[in-house]
Amino acid sequence: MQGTAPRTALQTAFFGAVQAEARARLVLIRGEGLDGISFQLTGRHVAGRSTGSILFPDDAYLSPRHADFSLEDGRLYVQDAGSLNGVYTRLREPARLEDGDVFLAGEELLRLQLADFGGSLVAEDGTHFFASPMPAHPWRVTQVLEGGRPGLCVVAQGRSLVIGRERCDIDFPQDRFISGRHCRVDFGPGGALVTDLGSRNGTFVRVRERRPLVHGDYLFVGRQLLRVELS
Amino acid sequence: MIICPHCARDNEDHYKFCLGCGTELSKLAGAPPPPARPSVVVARAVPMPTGGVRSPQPVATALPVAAPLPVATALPVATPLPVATALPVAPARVVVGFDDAQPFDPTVDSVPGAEPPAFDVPPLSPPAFEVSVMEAPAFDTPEAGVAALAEPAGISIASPLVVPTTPGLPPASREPPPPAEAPMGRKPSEPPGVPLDPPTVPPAGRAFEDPFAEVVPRVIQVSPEAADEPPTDGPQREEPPTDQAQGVDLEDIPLPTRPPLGRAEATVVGEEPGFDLHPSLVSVVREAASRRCPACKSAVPEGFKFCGVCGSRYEPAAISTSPVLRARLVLIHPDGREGDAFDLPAGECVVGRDVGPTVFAEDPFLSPRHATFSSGPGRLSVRDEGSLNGVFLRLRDEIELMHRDLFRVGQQLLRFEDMRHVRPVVQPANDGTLVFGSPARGTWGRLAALVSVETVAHVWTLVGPQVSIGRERGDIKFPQDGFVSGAHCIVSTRQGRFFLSDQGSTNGTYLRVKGEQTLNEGDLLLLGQQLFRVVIG
Repeated sequence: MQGTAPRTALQTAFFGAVQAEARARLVLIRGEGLDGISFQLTGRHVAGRSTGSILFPDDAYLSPRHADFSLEDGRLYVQDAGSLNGVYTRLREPARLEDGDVFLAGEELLRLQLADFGGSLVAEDGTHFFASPMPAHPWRVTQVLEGGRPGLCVVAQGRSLVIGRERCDIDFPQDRFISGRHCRVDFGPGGALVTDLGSRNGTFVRVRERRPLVHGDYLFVGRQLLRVELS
Repeated sequence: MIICPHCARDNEDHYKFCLGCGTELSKLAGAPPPPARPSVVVARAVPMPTGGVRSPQPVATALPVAAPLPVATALPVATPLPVATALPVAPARVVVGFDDAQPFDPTVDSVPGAEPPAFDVPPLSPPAFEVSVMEAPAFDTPEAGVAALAEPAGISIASPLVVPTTPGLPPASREPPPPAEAPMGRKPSEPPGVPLDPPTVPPAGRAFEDPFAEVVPRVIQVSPEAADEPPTDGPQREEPPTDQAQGVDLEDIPLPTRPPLGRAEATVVGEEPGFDLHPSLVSVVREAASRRCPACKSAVPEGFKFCGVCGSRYEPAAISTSPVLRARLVLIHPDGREGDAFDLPAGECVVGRDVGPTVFAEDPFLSPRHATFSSGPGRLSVRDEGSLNGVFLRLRDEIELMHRDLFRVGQQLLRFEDMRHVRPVVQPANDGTLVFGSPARGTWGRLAALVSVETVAHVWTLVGPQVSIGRERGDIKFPQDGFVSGAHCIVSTRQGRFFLSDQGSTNGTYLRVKGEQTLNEGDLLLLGQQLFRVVIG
């Protein structure tokens, strides 16, 4: 850990960085047996399975170099370092989703898919295809299972889909971490939005580009859930 | 004298049918007979010659009946054709078809919260029709006939098709199949490899107008008159020899517009046609007297050794003994009636939009060459010819599911996917990182709803030893599909294998046929948008 530069030569010397005022830290909320540990952030840090100062060597869902953190002028930023599984931040307000974007609700990794269900039902030889009824709305939410296989796919019956444990448009009754009504995806002319419905554990969206973090933010890095504390 | 235009035989002026060949002579007089409705096929006229029909309906005047029967003119049987009109029986619910024209209305044809509306199929087992006319023995005296026929209806049809769709009950009784029918329609034995003549069914007889109107099942009502059923055993056994039945005699008779044969009665056959029978019965007799002259195809009454028309010798010994299964497909109309029957020739018969009977040509959901039926010794089978929509067979027992098998539940076209063969949408990295995602929880398969050839809309995951599918109950629910039963079918897994079984659903579960599929009596086949029942005679 590197302390910040001494402000004046005449000030009392501290015992290094140990005594330095913490500007930022990440507290592990839920992870692989290291719950409660915190990581002081003082500059640039790399999180990963085998590289960097924020190491989770037992979490195979982390890429060797997974995410970059940087503290600049009192603001903390996070950026995906080209990881396989990405970095997720908890929603504070509705977030836009593009086609293919993924988000987390409880333990479920979900993907928004826009689909043109209005494809031709007539083959080249003039034969009509005898198919299931065509959905009226051109988007769906797909579950991505561990290992990358697609799971459940639910086509919207309207402009929104509510996701939760029961009596929602998409139910995950076996997920202990999802709330009864967890989040909602809305689709309109301006695109798709995902909104958390006051869930206990929150809804997370994948970080697409470098973005600032604020005090109280939560992050998923691999299986690790981290809380951001800034002073 | 009227000279028959068909066989040139002289006939008395009052004859309506040619004595020699049965051609309708009244046509020459101008009055065309009412068009035969192909699906209405009750041979009610049969017992007339001996006892006269005793039914609630008045009887035609000209009947040569001695008994003092109530006489009137409005007999529906009075048409020359041996076809009965619709029986005045209350329509029965049930049966099949596909309809899209009307959205599912839960207030119609269904009990709320109960079984779905009757997009129903007749029972898998062939309905055991009982057409009393068929079974009526020859009456020795008019009195006997009258007494025996004093039933309220001259024909009593006890058909499982008429089974009410009591909610929750599986369809109909599983009666043993009716006795095999001897003559398959009017084609006792097709020469091998000769395709069927295209039936000249009036298109109006079918209700498929809009090709897109058939994408989803249609709620249908069945009339009990759907007795287009293989008639019973009996005198039809004396069918013409194979070599005499090369279809020539069919030229003047559009096959599908005729009622199936076999309605003939022994009593009629024994008569000399045309002499003392009412003209309306002559055609019955003509059909009944299936003995035909090898030379001129004229009917040869039983007991005659020479053709009365051309004098050729009649050889009754040459009866076909072909070991090949003779089978046919009985169309199940959108309104639930059983309609035309298509005889499948021995050997192979390709059907599709461009080949085979015209009923196939009118179906835009059939590929130009859709499927091949093969009738071999002791075996009837069907093979998909790489068609777009395939051939679907209604499940009887549990079957094993393989990856990408297709089956139909209600309006849904579902594809089973073995999870071991489902390709990841996120490719793993080569640095040892695992792909993050939802817990798999032992998911072993998926069911994908196909909305176009390769477009998947909805997908359900399969977890646990078995997954039930139903409209209201079950792990996978189709609350908006009125053609799915409350508890419809079950997909299950055992020892790494996968199975599908119907749960006694009203409308059945259909599996797409792969390879060469053997067919059995009573099997229900979905070809394009049409449903057929397999009848093996």
